[in-house]
Amino acid sequence: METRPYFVFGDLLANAATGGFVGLVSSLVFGPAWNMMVAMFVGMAIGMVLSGPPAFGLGALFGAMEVMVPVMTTGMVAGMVVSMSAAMGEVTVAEGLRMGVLSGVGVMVATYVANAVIKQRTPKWTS
Amino acid sequence: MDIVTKKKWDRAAANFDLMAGYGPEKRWAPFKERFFAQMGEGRILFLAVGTGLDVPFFPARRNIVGIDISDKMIEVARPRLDKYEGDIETHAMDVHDMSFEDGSFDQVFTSCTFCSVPNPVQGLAQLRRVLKPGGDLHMFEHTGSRYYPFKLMMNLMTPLSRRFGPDMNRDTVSNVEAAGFAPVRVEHVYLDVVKTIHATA
Repeated sequence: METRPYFVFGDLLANAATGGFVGLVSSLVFGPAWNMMVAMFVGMAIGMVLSGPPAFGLGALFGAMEVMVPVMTTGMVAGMVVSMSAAMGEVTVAEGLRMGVLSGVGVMVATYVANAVIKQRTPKWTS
Repeated sequence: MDIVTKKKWDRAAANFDLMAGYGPEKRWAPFKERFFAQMGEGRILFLAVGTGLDVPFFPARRNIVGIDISDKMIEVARPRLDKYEGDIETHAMDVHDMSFEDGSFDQVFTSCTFCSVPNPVQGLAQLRRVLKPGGDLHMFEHTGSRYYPFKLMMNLMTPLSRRFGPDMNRDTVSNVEAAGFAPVRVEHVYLDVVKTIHATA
């Protein structure tokens, strides 16, 4: 597990900021008029597209795959969560931002746990 | 030589360090130090030289031949290559079509290379050809993931990332086997995405 403060802070910043941004935009795009399933898929797609530039940009500061993979996952999850919530009932910009940030932090924690679990699993080859 | 691939990396050379020179290198530094410490006393082939970001991790006094498909990349790498305290020569060369004789090297090291080689199995088969029988292949590579949602993400990212850089979803471990190498060890560095691979010719 990553324990160096610079990278832990960077992961937190990258995922929270990207999630917040995607959540904010999603709250502006989606509303109760949307079918929830359609909103979910469109929200995931928008989240992925919006998370691309920050994933590559912040990757230059904090690490390549270690930033790109979770940040683009954050985009997908934040887009999905906020779009579905907005389809169920009005979501304000502040609520969208908050849900996005929480999605980002959640994805970061989940990725840290997944990293610890996968690294302990036996790879395809062992000596 | 694959001109399309060469031009892609020639275009990337000037700004490559902006993307890869700070965060990724700082994050991977402890792993790369351990990885390149395996460089032995014999003749070593290293690919791809890129802008020379890996050169500071090389142990001193080794006999290294570095190749890269892009001569522009090698130009950018020159100051780092000049600082290396050992023998290092470079060639602009395509891994699919290397001019080295069979069995020329004791070890081959690759670093984030086979995400970008257009025909990875053919390229790896060429590495096996230039390795001495029983010689070591050591790879530090990022690959696709077998786990969702990461697998989905990387499959979706690849058509875009391929346009200006690497593929994100390669199955390099299987490609190494398909090229005829004998597997020794795989270690995960980050998820099952960044890994070191050791195999023998």
